[in-house]
Amino acid sequence: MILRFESVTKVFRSSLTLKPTHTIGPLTFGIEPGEIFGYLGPNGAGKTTTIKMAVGLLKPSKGRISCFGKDVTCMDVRSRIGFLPEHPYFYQHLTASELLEFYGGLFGLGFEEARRRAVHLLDITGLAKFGKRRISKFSKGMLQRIGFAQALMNDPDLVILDEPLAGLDPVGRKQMRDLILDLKQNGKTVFLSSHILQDIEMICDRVGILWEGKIVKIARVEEILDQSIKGLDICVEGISIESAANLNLGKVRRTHDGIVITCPADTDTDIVIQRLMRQGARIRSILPQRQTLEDYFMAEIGDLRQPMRRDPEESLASSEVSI
Amino acid sequence: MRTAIVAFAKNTYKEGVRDRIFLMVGVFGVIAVISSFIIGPLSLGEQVRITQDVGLAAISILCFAVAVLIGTGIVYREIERRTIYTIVAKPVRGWHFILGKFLGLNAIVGLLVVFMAALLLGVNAVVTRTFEPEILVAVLLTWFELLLLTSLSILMSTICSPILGAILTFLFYFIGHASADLKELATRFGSPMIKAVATIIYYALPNLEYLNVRSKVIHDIPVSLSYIGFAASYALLYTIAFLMVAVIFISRKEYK
Ligand SMILES: Nc1ncnc2c1ncn2[C@@H]1O[C@H](COP(=O)(O)OP(=O)(O)OP(=O)(O)O)[C@@H](O)[C@H]1O
Ligand SMILES: [Mg+2]
Repeated sequence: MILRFESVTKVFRSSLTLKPTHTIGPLTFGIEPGEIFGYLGPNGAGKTTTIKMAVGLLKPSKGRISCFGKDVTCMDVRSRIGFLPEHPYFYQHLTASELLEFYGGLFGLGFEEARRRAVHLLDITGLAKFGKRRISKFSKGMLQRIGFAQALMNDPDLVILDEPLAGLDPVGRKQMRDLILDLKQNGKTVFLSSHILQDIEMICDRVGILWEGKIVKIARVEEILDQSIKGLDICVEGISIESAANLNLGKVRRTHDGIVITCPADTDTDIVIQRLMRQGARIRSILPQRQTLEDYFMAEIGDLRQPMRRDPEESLASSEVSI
Repeated sequence: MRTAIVAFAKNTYKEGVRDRIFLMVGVFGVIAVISSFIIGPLSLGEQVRITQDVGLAAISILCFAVAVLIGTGIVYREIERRTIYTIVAKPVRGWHFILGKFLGLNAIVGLLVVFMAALLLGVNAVVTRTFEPEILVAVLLTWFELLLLTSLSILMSTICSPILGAILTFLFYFIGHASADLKELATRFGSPMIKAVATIIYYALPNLEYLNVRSKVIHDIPVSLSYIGFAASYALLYTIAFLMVAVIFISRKEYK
């Protein structure tokens, strides 16, 4: 395991009374070499807090975080990590090239080497034209790109990205996804957080779902997508919606393509087709309906939300209504 | 390690010289030194002294202003604007950061000192028709004082906001220069309570008057080499102590 959290807990305390105000964890999970791990969770779940602990911006209240087999605070661990913070912000008085050269210096790179890498990174992040522009003139998406470039100045083995796709336009998102996939191709490991489920679905190998400071699920993306064939959408024409409904095959609805019957996933398609044809229907298409990560996520989170609705005050309120 | 310190220093220097404060103070410095040349003749027979006095005071005060205005925000702003987030994740230590900031800030202040000192020597040469490098002894000790004051400003910026830091550093400067007078005043007129407080202040805070040999230089009283050595070490000791405390504070910080 490249990055490993062992019962890591962060307790935020009120600065006056020292009473705990919020707790993240305990978190126990690890990131395998060469994978892209997606860290998913709604706002305030604790993604940024976890990442800040992994890069040393926050100290865990309990537990241990190790990286490459050593404590994350070791200097030689840090020189192998690249980090892009959430909403990155950089020195306004520097130009893009100067900024990257500055970070090169922090990694102990000589000036020539730093300059060479800066040129290359500006190029692959699509900022080649803006090397001489001051950071103060950068747009949000450009900041995100220079932030990504900065994270790669040391050619890191592990790249930690907090919402790398935030603030990018669709083209930029595609480019950033490709850059992240390139990292994997080159044998790097990536730990990224995001709200945008489609992006995670497209690039991640594994996901961890975080909810109110706890990891509720860790799985491979295919696993989640596989067990998620929800049904078959059979699109037919030539019969009325009523007669289709009368067959009791599943939910029936009309679309601009014709009538769509949604059957359960375990339906025997041969039998269904025969029955439909006997009614004089023409089959236009049969499509397995897959659950997206988004559906899965909503379902997981939905399950967790259920018990919360049953707090005493609310049930009292609802019983009053029913009386 | 060395490249990291250089990177911090260079960056701090660039930020400083691209700052408006620097330009404003620089222009003000030129005006101050040149005006000493113009005021001089009005004070019958005292022209030389006035020029030197105003010039040396301008160097001390204006460079102190730059040190405080830039220095007290130097770490605070990195935290407030979150530029420090990417730095903490890099293989650098707290002392690299603080030392780099200190060197960068002193490069700015030093540039101003050199520039104004050269100007003063020039103006003085015009007034006296002789070259008087002895003036530089006063400038040298002022420069040591500025090392101490920049390190204090940086320390302030790791623990409080720039405004509070500037007020505290200014108070420190004022008391540091007046502590002997204050103690004298208190022992003569004050109640025992005030006397005690004045004595504590006198011994707790560095006496910045040790670093002020301006009036000696102006009145052509020689300053011994051993005195210069003593005053310089006095300033350096405080400088190192302030920087070390700043390193302790920055290393223990969390970024919430
Ligand atoms: N300094 C702090 N003091 C107290 N509570 C905090 C602090 N920082 C974060 N929290 C709390 O910890 C929780 C997790 O915050 P965090 O920023 O890690 O969430 P996140 O998953 O990154 O959310 P988002 O998707 O909005 O970025 C939140 O409920 C937040 O209120
Ligand atoms: Mg976040």
